[in-house]
Amino acid sequence: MKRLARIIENIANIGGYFSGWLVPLMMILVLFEVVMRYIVHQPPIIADEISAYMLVALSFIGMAYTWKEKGHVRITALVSRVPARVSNWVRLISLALALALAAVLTQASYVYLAYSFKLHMASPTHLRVPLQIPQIPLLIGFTILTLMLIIETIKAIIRIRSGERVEEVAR
Amino acid sequence: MSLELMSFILIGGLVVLLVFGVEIAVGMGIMAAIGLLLFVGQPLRQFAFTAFDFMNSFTLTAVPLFVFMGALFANTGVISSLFRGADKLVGNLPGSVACSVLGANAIFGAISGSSLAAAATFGKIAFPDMERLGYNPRLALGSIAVGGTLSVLIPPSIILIVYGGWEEISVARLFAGGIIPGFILAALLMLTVVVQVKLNPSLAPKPPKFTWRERLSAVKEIGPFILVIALVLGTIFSGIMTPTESASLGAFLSIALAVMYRKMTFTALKESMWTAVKIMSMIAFVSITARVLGMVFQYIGLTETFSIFMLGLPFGKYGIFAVICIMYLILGMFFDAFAMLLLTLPFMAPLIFELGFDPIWFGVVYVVLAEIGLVTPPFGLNLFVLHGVVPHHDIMTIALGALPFLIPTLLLIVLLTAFPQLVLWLPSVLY
Repeated sequence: MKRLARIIENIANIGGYFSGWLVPLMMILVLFEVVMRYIVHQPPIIADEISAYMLVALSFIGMAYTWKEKGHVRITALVSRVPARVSNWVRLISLALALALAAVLTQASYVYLAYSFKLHMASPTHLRVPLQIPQIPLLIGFTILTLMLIIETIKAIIRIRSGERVEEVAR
Repeated sequence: MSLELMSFILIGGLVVLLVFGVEIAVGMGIMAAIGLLLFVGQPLRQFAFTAFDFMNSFTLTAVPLFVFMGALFANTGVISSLFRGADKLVGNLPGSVACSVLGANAIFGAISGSSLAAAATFGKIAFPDMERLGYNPRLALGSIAVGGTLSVLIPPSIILIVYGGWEEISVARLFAGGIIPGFILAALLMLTVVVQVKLNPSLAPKPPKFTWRERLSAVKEIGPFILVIALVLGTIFSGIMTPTESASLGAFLSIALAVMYRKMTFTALKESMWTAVKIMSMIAFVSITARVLGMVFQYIGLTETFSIFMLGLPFGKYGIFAVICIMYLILGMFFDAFAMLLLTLPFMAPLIFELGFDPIWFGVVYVVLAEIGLVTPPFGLNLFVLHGVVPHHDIMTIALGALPFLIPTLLLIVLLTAFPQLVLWLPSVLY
């Protein structure tokens, strides 16, 4: 179990690392287009489209990493004030709900992607990018998030059974 | 099923989930899924469609780039030079270092769109100095917490980019609209420090005397930042670049500046990239779930009913706007600025426009309202971030320190409502 948890957390970290490097790459791509437009006067007109696809990739592939780093905002004013026994169960239920939503989002992305493949959808620009390519990060990102939440939920159950706190929440 | 019952299930369920500490995006997503399945009869793949459709946006690409830029300035420590420069320029005012924090924040606000980065950074570089000099912790921490909020008003502002992307309004015009209110607020906040120290001199030590030579040397310290701001905002307002292109230029210049100051490290680069990922992923998750939930509200007729109800209130245009402001001030105590914006926009935007308010004006006023939420307990994010930096002071000390600064912030809202041209004049001149 510990090994599996470590593998999934590493996958989330790799997702975060990959997404992180997309930021300077976006910067270079957009600046390249500006330079080509004003200095060479031959803009390739690709930055708008490709950088938006990169934004999709970094947002979704980095989602599990963001979860792991507690980057998704929540209101902890009440849960930080209730006894540990209650807050443990509340957190377990909220993790289970998050897992259910992540599974729904993964399934929705899969259906959406399959639909896109079936219709051979392509971008309405001169690049004619097959839209399945920029849509794949949705499925990858939500799948990693689902795996991450399975691990988090199992960890919460183990901690509750061993009488530990599921999480420390700042008051 | 009646509208009342559907609304009760959706809004009541959302409130319960959020109160019990479920992540805001998850809470909205769960209720949106229930709404889609039970009340709208639409397939759940709507989530994936909305996710790709909304995030596949060149406008929103500016968000991670501006966050990266601000984070680089903060993580490399280059920003301490800005603080030293601001200290020499406004350091002779009563409550000198608190005024310097606010002045430096106004400038940092023009190179960073994230309030949290500003609060954390100035908490690290300014508070130890203020503590050593004998500043009252409430004044010191209050000015740092509130100073951070200037970053979300003075362009580039991440909230304004998301608002522009959501409502399909020009981000450049929104940025232009934020400039004058941003600098008025910075001046009002500094005035608040001066008044507090004049009324109670024990709050801060006597200001040091800086010679003109020292003040001139401040120009050298602040100069590179002013140059970056001039290039980033200048290229947007002159129409040479889009906000996203300017964000790329700004990110590049922040790397160049860090290299110039010999403070560029691989760790700082990685941390800045990951900060950008975390903020962007958080915004993406909140945005897509809020958008689908908004669609559900619209489909069941709640949005329209809310609009009709609000327009029927016997308070007149400004009375209804005051009710909206009060709602935002209350919501701001519990919600993050993005979640509050995205969750309420489907309701508020049609109402605000129906009342005859300008979309650009509303975007800027919303940011000021959200700023208040950032420093009001129990969920003022700046309070938590600052508490993380100075854990030996409790959150209430920071919140009470921020309290006097809410007076000028509320005054600004009144000013912007009475004189909308404070927001709208610059966009009308530039575009």
